[in-house]
Amino acid sequence: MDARTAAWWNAVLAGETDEPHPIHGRHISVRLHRDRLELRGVLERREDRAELVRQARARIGKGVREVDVSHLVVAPRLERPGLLEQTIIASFTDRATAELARKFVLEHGRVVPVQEAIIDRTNGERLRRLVPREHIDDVRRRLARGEAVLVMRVDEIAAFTVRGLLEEETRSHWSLAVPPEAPSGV
Amino acid sequence: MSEIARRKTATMRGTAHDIAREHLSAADVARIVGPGVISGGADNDPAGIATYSVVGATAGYAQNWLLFLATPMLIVVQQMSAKVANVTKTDLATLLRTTYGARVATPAVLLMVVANVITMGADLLAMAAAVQLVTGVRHIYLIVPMAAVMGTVTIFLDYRRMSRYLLWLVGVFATYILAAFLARPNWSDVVRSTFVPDVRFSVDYMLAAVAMLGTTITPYLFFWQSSGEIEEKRGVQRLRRTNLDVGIGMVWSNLTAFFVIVATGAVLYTHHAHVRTAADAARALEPFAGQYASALFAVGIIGAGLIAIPVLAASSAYGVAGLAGWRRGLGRPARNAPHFYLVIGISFLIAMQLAISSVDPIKALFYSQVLDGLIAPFLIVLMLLITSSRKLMGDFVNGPITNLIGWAAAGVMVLADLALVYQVATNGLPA
Repeated sequence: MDARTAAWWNAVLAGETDEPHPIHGRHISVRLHRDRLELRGVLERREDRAELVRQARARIGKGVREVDVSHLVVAPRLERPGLLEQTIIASFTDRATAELARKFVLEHGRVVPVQEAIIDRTNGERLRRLVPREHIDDVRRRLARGEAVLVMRVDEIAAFTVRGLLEEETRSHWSLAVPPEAPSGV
Repeated sequence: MSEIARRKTATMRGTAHDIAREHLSAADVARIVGPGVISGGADNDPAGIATYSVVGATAGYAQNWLLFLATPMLIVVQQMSAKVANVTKTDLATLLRTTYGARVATPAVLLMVVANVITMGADLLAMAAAVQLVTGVRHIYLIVPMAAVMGTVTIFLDYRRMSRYLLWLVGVFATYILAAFLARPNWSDVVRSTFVPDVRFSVDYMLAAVAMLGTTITPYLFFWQSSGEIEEKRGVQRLRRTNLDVGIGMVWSNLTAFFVIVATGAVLYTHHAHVRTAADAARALEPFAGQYASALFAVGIIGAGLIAIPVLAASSAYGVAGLAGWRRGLGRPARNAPHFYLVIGISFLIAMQLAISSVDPIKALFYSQVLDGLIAPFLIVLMLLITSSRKLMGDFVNGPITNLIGWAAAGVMVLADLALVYQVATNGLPA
């Protein structure tokens, strides 16, 4: 659990239940009535719900006697994971920054890439295997400037999260999503 | 063949487009409410209703054909906005920046932001004028509290969730359909003007044409649609559902617009009355609502404003944040995306300032739509170039019919813009 989430839980136990959750924002709400903690809301993934329930139950005996999660639900999703895959490419000043971005995406996006690599001038030959032909020139231009490129192939729906994190949360100079393709195993 | 078996077969064939194609049952269709339907609701903002009222009152049914022609164009342009986001996994502003660079993306976004802020100011003014109609409180005293409430709601509450409920308020405009029938228009004139183009070379006609196209095929909706898809995360595997969502939203939007023109045309144009105030515009509802026309009109305008003003502010914020690479999204809390929400706050402040300055509300609404009409073709062309690129879109590249309708939309809007510029240059602006 990161420091922001831990601080949020501390605030909740202190009675400040109006603060939005640092990850799920206003999608969830919490009520503390005497020593009964009630979590409500809609989460995107089953794993998120399980983690939140685990965190809540870990607080039993620390100012909470009972936890009610009957109104904490997972949004019904029609998307089928694994139907299509997509490669996301982002360029960074150097390999170290790209590595930080990679760790950040894996940790916060909670995605499991089908393939991933950081490419710079030292391993430029891997480009042909990971990047579709149409985009190789774009990537080569960035490598020629001394930049490092993070390449991640992920499930099509997870690609929204990956590109969003790379665009908004990391120091990427440029990013690109290769159009969705059939899974690489097919 | 079951859905899973069909997709397995498609997977063996291997094209992403085939794999993504989804069969929709009647129950699926009934459940479709997404960013497309909300965009359709936001398309008929107070500025839109005022524009259609002015068009109906000044030109009668003469421009019905243009609205009819604009419907497939609007659907195609909005579907392209949705598709491009689902394929590239990013919003329109970011895509313009990463594809064409800041030199192209910045003016495109900033022009949209300027038009949005003017429209927001005009919409606020229209909402205040509508409240004045029923309460008698002078509209100038209503603008600041209304802007403050809407700004707070947009910044601190989950607007996307709320807008699904607010859509019901816009349902009030369905009364225009009844009002149009009760006004007993000459239906043969209505039908003829819908299917037979009637082009007149006058400044009034061209202004009305550009404003109508601008309020129908509106730049801020392109940005809103693409950002909505990013927040919904439906992906290309739900593209058919997305297209249907967009189609339903846009048909409903233009159907309402059509009946606003018919109602105002029948009630106001035939009596040579002009739309200069909210009370004038409300008169079109009199055949249906009688003495309650003003109240009904006010509820509709307030509902339309409550949906559209936050959409306008958020579209500007999505555009600017996409240009700058800031965190963005109405699903995020304000402290998590401060720059994004700052743009929303500043938009509200400037719009409020515009609204309380002594501007003629109906003129402000109308000319903001003219500005939209001038910007839209530029954005449509950029979007067409992106969605026609196999490199960027892969198997989801535009088909020939989409390209044909998309280029026709850009062409019709450019022609209307050129005709307007020529008319204004030779005859000047009307009083």
